[in-house]
Formats: sequence, structure tokens, C-alpha cells
Amino acid sequence: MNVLALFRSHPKSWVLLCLLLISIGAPLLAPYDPVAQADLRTSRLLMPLGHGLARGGSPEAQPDVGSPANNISDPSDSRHAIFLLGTDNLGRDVLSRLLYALRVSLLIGMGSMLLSLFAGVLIGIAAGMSRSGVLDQLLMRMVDLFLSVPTLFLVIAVVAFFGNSTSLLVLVLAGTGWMTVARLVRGEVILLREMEFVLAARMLGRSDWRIILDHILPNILPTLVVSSVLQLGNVILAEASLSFLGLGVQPPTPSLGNMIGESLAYFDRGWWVGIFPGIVLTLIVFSANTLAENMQEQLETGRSAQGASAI
Amino acid sequence: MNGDWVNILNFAVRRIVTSVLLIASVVSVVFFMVHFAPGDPLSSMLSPTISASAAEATRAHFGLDRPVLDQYSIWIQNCLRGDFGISISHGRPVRELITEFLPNTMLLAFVAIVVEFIIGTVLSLVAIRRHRKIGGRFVSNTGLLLCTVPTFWVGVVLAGVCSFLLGILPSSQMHSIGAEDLSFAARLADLAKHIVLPALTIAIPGSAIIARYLTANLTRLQNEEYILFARSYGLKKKRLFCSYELPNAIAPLITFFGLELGTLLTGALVTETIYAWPGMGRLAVMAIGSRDYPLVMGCTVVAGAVVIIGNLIADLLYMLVDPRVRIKG
Repeated sequence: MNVLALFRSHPKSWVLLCLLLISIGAPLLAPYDPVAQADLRTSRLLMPLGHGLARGGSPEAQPDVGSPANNISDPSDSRHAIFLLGTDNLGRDVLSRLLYALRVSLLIGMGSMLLSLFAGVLIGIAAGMSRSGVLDQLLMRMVDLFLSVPTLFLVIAVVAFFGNSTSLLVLVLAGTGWMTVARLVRGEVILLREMEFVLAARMLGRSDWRIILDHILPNILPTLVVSSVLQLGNVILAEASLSFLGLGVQPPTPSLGNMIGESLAYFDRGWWVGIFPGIVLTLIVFSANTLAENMQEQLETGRSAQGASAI
Repeated sequence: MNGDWVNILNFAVRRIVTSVLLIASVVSVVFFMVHFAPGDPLSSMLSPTISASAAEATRAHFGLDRPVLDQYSIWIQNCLRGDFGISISHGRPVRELITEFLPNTMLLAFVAIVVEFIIGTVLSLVAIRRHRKIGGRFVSNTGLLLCTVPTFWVGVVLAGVCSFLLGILPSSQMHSIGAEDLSFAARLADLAKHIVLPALTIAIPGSAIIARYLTANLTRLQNEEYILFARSYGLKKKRLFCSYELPNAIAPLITFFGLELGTLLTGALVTETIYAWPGMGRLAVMAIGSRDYPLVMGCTVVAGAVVIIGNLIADLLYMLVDPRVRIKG
């Protein structure tokens, strides 16, 4: 699947790409430090486009926490500022927090998406290529087990018992997504391994590893692209739910979920704090889901066209 | 007919056995997860200044000094009896807490499913009837968007708009303060008022999914031979729709409801936290906040069991409704 052709035929991929670029450029785009508090006497819960006193300048110029310059009672380095999306309850700029939250959410989402994809492919190929069938049965029953328990319950139990570091979060979220990938990959592998070109490769004495790398993987790649996009949306949503409950990304680090969670306490006075992260989150999940759906349709029509020409 | 029942029995027995195995696995996973977690259930209860011998004695009292397999077999036996120990934060038996909180979640889930089903069906009928007109296209596009809107954001926005800004509906708890003194009808009305927002929060994304599913089913049915036959036979459109198309499109939704139970319980974690609904989800979230090991373990096991049993019932029902599943076994 050509990357350029992908962008040309799927407008939604532009949305995802833009969000990705924005999140990469967050330090340049953010007008303020995401955790720096503006003057608390004048700048708490300012409406979007509100004016107030900001503290410090760009993130680079931000003094260390605890240095006298960051002290509330010292107004000398305050300056007049506009907050495009307003400020939150602690006087932090919502736009800057949103940009950094996008970064955090996408980073965790991508990390666990890649991890679950890796695990899913590994397990799917192992199950699909197993000759005896015992391994296949064993792995697929494991998939069934993980699919049938309410995963978020297990995830919060893990987070509760093992603590919530970011790396653990990535690992645990990956644990909720590998099953569907494994099932999908296994199905494809079972079809592929009986195909003539794979049988021919085997007759030529190619080892299993070479067959997997040269023949199986390239052929399941389109399916993997589709399921990785779908996976990304799901994982970001799951991370947001966890952070919303206060079990994921911990404050003061902003994430889309914990921004919405924090806003719940003062929604009547500061609706903008929770609304904007929700819109961004919906945009990500919506474009990821529809993109995956469109690509899947394209893949299926492509396959049936191929099948027709083969006959 | 005889072979039919053998098939049904065969399928049912196999599904029940797998479900029991699945529940057993959930019970084991929870045990070993707690066992391998850093620290132990007592670390949050024991003061760091306590003497080592006293700490050991407390561990021994709770059986934490025994071999792992012993502890495991005790855990299994207790699970079989439905005894999950005493909650650290509430000071009451976990079983008592769960039997008190689970019905509230079930009530919320039931209302949400009914609302979801009604909204979903209506939306799908609109989408089908007017699929070339603006209304239908609007429905299917917003439906797609609503499928992906995060539940908790819907909850925050609904609570914010309906109770904080407009003040028309209560935003938390199941009853108003002093509701015990009201008459039965007034209490029921009070409960109904409190359940609207949480139920809608769960039902809005869910109904969009149902609508999409139902629309896809109805569209696919249009090309089925028996529908074409009935149409060419001259059956009235209304009759065709009510007795051929709709039942066949709705039947697969039974398994969907089985799966939906898991989503509902998961969604309950978030929804009940937003609306302070005294149910299982809120119980679990609070238990995690206070590192209440017995309660977290109990909630996880019960939630897992409820979902697995729900799926089992849905599968069995579906088999009774749709003969094709029976034949395949």
C-alpha cells in the first residue's frame, strides 16, 4: 500500500497526520508552559480569549519550581497575556495543556499500539504456523479468555496493585488489544500457508523463518495497517478513560482524559476546560475508526477484484 | 426433532463447561496478580514503626506466611462459597457490599439497555426509510460520530448542561436527601429523575452502535432470497417488514446484548463515578483509591463472572431463537 496513495484516497488520514504533527511540534506551538500557573489572583478560570497576568514566558524561560521567581507573592515578572482557550482552575493555559495532552495521549497510544501489534503478530503467527495444532488450540483459548473478561476492570486492578507508571500503562493497555490482532493474523496465516506460492517456497527447502519473513509478513501487512489504525483509536480511548478515573497519567502532566476528569468538579464555572479535550479526543477516535473502516472496505474490494481477475 | 435436541444439549453443555473454565481462570488470574504485585495486602495497614515480630504475627494471622499453593486453594474454596473476606475500607464483608451495590448497577444497566434499544431502533428505521433524504444521511453520519464519542465525555457534558447550567436534573446519587420519608410513588419519581442522566450517558454511544448494526442487517436482508420471494409473492410492505425483516434483523442483537453487558459494566466504572451512582463501578474505583485488596479482588471476580454468565445466557438464547446456530452445533 503506497503511502502517498493512502493520503490521497483517505482524507481522514490527513486529520491524524495533522494531529501527529501538532503533537510533535507542541513545544513550539504552545504559548505557555503546560504546568506553569498564571497569577492566581487574576487568572483562574478565565474564559477563552480571556486576559490575565501570565507568569514567565516560553517554556525555556520558565524558572525552576521553588525558585523565588515562581512565588505567588512576587508580581515582578508577571506580564499581560491572552489565553486563547482560557485557563483552568489552577490558572494554567488550556491551549498549552491541550497540546501537551495530545502529545502524551498519542505517545502512550502509539507505544501500546505497536506493542500490542507486535504481541498479536507473534502469537497469531505462532498459532497459525503450528503443525501439531496443540499450540494453536492453547493460544486461541488464551485469546478467548482475555476477550471474555471485562478488560478495563482487570486493567484498573493491575494499575491498583502495581502502581501507574507510564511504562506500565503502555504495557497494560497493550494487554487489552493484542487478542483481536492475534485472531486476525492467525486467520490470514492459515489461509496463506496453504497457498501455492508458500507450498512452492517450502518445497524449495525454505525454512519456516524465511517463509514467514519473505512470504507471510508482506502479505498480511495491509491487514496489519488497518488493525493498527483501529487499535490506535481504541487504546487512546482506553487511556483516556483510565486517566479520567485518576488511574492513568497523573497530574500535573496533562492528558486528554485527566483534563476532562479535572473539569468535572467545576464544569459550571469552566466548561471550556473539559469541552476542548473531549472534542480533540473524539476527533482522534472518529478519524481513526473511519479511516480503518474505509481502508478495510478498500482492501476487501481489492481482494475480490483480484480474485475475479484470477478466475 | 430428536437430533435437534441432542444438538442443543451438546452445544449448551459445551458452552457451560467453557464458561466455568473461564470463570476459574479469572479467579486464578486475580489471585496471582495480587500475589506477584509489589508489597502485600497488609503493607497499607501496618505502621512502618511496628516491630518486625508484630508484623510477622499479623501476616500469620491473615495466612500470608503460608505457601502460595495453600493460599491459592483457600482462595478458591472461599470464592466457591462466595466469601471474599472483609473490606478494609468499609469494615464490612465484601459479599454484603457487593450484594448491596450490584443491584443498583443492574438497575442502571437494565434501564440503559432499554433506552439504548429504543433509540437505536428508531434511529435505524429513520436511516433506512429516508436513506436518500437529508434526514437519513444526517442520522447515519451523526450515528458514526456518536459511536466514537467517549462515554465519560458524554457524561461530563450531560451533567454539565442538564444539571449545572440548566439545573433541571440531579447530577448525583440515586435518591434525594430525605427521600426515605416520601410516599412510594414520590420515591419512584425521585429515582426516575436521578436515573435519567446516567442512563442516557450509557445509552447515547450504545444506541448509535445498535442503529448502525441494525441498519446494516436490514440492508443486507433486502437481497435475501426469502425476502425477494415474499415481495414477489405480493406481501404487503408493512407485513413484510414486521414479520420478516425486523425479526431477522433484530435476532443477532441478542448476542450483541451479551457482549454489551461487558461494555456496560466497564462503562459503569466511569458513569457511576461521574454521577456518584452507588453501584459496582463506583465501589471498585473507591476500593482502588483506598487500596482495599479484598474489595478489589471481589469486584473483579464478580464483574468477570457476571459478564461471562451474561454471554453464556445470550448465546443459549440465540441458539433457541435462531435454528441455524443449532444445526452448526
